[in-house]
Amino acid sequence: MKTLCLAGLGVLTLQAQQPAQTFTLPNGLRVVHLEDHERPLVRVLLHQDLQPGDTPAGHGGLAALALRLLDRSDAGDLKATDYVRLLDGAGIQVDRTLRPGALEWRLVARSRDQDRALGLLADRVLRTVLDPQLLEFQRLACWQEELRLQASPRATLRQALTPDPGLRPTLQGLAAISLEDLLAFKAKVFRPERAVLVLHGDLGLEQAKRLVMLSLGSWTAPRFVAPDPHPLPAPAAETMPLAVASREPGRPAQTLAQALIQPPAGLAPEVAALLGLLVPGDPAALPVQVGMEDSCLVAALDAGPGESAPALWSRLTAHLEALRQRGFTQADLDRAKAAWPARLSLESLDPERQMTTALDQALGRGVAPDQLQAVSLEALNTGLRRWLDPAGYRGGVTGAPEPRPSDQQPPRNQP
Amino acid sequence: MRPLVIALLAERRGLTAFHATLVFRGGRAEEPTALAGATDLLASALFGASWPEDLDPQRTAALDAILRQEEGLLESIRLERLRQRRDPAGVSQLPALEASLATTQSRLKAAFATSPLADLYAAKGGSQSAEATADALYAHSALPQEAFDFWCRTEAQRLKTLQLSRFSQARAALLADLNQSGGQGLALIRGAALPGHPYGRDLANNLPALEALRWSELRAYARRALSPDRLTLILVSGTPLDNLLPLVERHLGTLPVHPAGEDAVLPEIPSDLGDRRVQATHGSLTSLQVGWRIPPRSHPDHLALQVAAQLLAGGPSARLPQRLVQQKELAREARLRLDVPGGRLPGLLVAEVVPAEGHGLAELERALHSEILRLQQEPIAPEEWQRAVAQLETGHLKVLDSPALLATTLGRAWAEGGDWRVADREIQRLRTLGPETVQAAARAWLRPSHRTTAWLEPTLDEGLDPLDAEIAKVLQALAATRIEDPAQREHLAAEGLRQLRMLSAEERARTLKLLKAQLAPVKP
Repeated sequence: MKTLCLAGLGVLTLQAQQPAQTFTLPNGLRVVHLEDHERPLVRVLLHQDLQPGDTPAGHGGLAALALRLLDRSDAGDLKATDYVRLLDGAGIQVDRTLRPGALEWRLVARSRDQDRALGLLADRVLRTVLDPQLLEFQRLACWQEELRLQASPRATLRQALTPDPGLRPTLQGLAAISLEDLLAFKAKVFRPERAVLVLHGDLGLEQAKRLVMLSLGSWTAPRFVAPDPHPLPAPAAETMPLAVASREPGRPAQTLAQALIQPPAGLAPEVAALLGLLVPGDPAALPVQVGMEDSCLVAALDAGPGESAPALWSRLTAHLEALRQRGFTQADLDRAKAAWPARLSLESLDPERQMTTALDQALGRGVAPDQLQAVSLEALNTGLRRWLDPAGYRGGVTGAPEPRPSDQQPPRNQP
Repeated sequence: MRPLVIALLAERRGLTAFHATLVFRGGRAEEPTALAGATDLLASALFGASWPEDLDPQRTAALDAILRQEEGLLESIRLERLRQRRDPAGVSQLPALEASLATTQSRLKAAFATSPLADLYAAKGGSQSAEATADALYAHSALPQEAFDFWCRTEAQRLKTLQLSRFSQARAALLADLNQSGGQGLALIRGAALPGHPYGRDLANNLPALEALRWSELRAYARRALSPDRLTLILVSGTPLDNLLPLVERHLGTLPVHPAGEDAVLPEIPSDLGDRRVQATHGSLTSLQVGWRIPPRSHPDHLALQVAAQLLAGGPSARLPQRLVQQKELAREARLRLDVPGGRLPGLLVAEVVPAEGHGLAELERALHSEILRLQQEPIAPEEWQRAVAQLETGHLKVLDSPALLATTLGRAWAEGGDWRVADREIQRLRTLGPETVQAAARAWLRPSHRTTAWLEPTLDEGLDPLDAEIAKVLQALAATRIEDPAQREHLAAEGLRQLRMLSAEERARTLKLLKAQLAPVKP
């Protein structure tokens, strides 16, 4: 006889999620507060905006190197080792990420350590003095990390497609970066009006205001540095196709084509959200695998037996073009409109996702539910045609036995 | 026959969605050798997506017929390829077989909807994923709360039909991944430290078995491996349990238990096998890996070893990153992994250290062992102890705060420790644990007789620094003066370089000078 054995962890006493509240400090720092007293835990997300003009021409990898150096230098009156010891000693977890358009710190701390967590974050952002003695070592470490990435042809290709030059170190770019460049980058980027702070967890609004004011209220913007008149353009496709050989002798190199497709400028967030639901996993694209990464569509296709790089690239683009030309039906649109609010409800399961959504809202990238429901089929398909316009592909082929003929190369750059 | 065990573990108010994890005990460790890779295939082919056609009882017979045909063709193609390898001059049946397969796969494709958002969970705004581990198969789903009844029905139907219609794609993808990634460093140390044990098996060494694995065999295996008596459901939801239980019972409580669903009997390996060493050229990075055979998660010493790992490598200010990376600058990075590859049976605590430029693996190994001895013998400073406890506490709070993490943690506790309460008990025990207990466990388990050391060095043409590249060039030139066979020359040079890499940069530079001198033209 089958029986059902049940066990309970005990019912947790919780309260419903409070709506996000926002306020702005006199220095221009925008703060989003999400109150949640379920656990004695506080999460912090500091988003620092990055723009293409932040990386001057010929300085590829500047943002990556700046972050490395920033993280390893002394902060205020704290030696770098003491700084790390203080974080670790309180069990404060820190993640730093560099992604297209942003440099982010995410902290998780017990709520009793919230003052220390915010204070240490402020020390890092406001009071770090870049240590010139570390520059050469970190320059090398940055390049070694890049080389390690290149151990996998798939990762090499993905990195080569990264549109943000600051995130894509090159040997020449790293070699050209001086301490002055790093200081100028820091002065240009680390400004309160270019940052958004999201707080989530076991702290009330008044407490949050006090805490942020105490730790980041003194953040003043340094002298304004004009954007570089000749920013480094996004890397062109001349580096592609990448004929990356197998790193394991005796194992065949995997031939893979990949296209990174950024949303076109001016695409409404609501249309982008619906397309983000419909395009990835659409059987019409198969065998091309389409996914979303940092708001971009990423399409990938593995080569068939004996398939050449040009044929593979043509096949990938043909599948995407077929999807683009076919468009979606009213039934597809209705399904997506029904799925979107349901997907939104899943955010209650994930505090980090709640913070990301709150950040998107603060940055004006949020989706308005009523506008999403009002999107017409025509607007959806127009958005699809713009997004999948081959002129916007950044593409490449890796593990290729031979380079593609020039007439079949993917376009060199995003318009 | 054991009962279907479903533990409904957490109820959280304020949630508008639920997270459910199905945990099937067993995992890769219980796969028979002939079915190596079956757990990974079930994760992707069965739990990777939820297509309505797979779950429609009216269509099962029709889909089965096509899948049987596809299975026959795939097997014929495999056999024909083997035959061709033995007799390349014979008449090939491959083109005809491949054409038949293409036709059959087109029929299979045509049996499925081609509209976007056809996946049942995606259409409801949900998500699903699955992972295969050494100890279990985990299938995670997240859906809006109102879809709970739908989820129960869907999962029950999935487990009844076990359709596996994406079997051939899943197998091809897994083979491609294994072919591409090859043997990983960790697989090497697992194999050396746990010889003959399923925990030591490397799937990349079982490619022929995986290529020969058939759809019907995987399905038969799934009936045993996914039998409800091996299942625990972890549910994190905002709805009171009383409202959910009837639905769970109605749908998942009626699943048939497979009669052969008992645990496999796995061989035991004594922890003190002796100090073992492996040297290999591998990938593009030089690294040192040291693994100690440690007890399973259910053992009283396991928690103490978890704290020991935290003291050694939990965060940038822990001992290994501080001393080996920051202070002595011997290593570029140092980290520890606990329970490799699993925690249900005796597994490994593995230290992975990548040397800094100019430092050899022997030097690194000595420094690592010094740190282990310090942990065993010298008192642990109170602030260091507090740091480790604080980190573990924050980690625990983070787990409790995230339904997905909570479900995975409780599922692992059940699959590895035999009881989902293990996760909670560990954090309670942590508060009463003392540094002496940790040191005693370190002395008992992190000793040479439990140890396996692997020196991994890049292949000759990979990742060489300029000095090594120069040495390799000179060694090859020297070998060319004495040996005619190029393969033998290559081997000799590689072996010479491998041995020289054990020296410091300074010693290597001196050796290079001596070697160069031997190349100098002989005076008449």
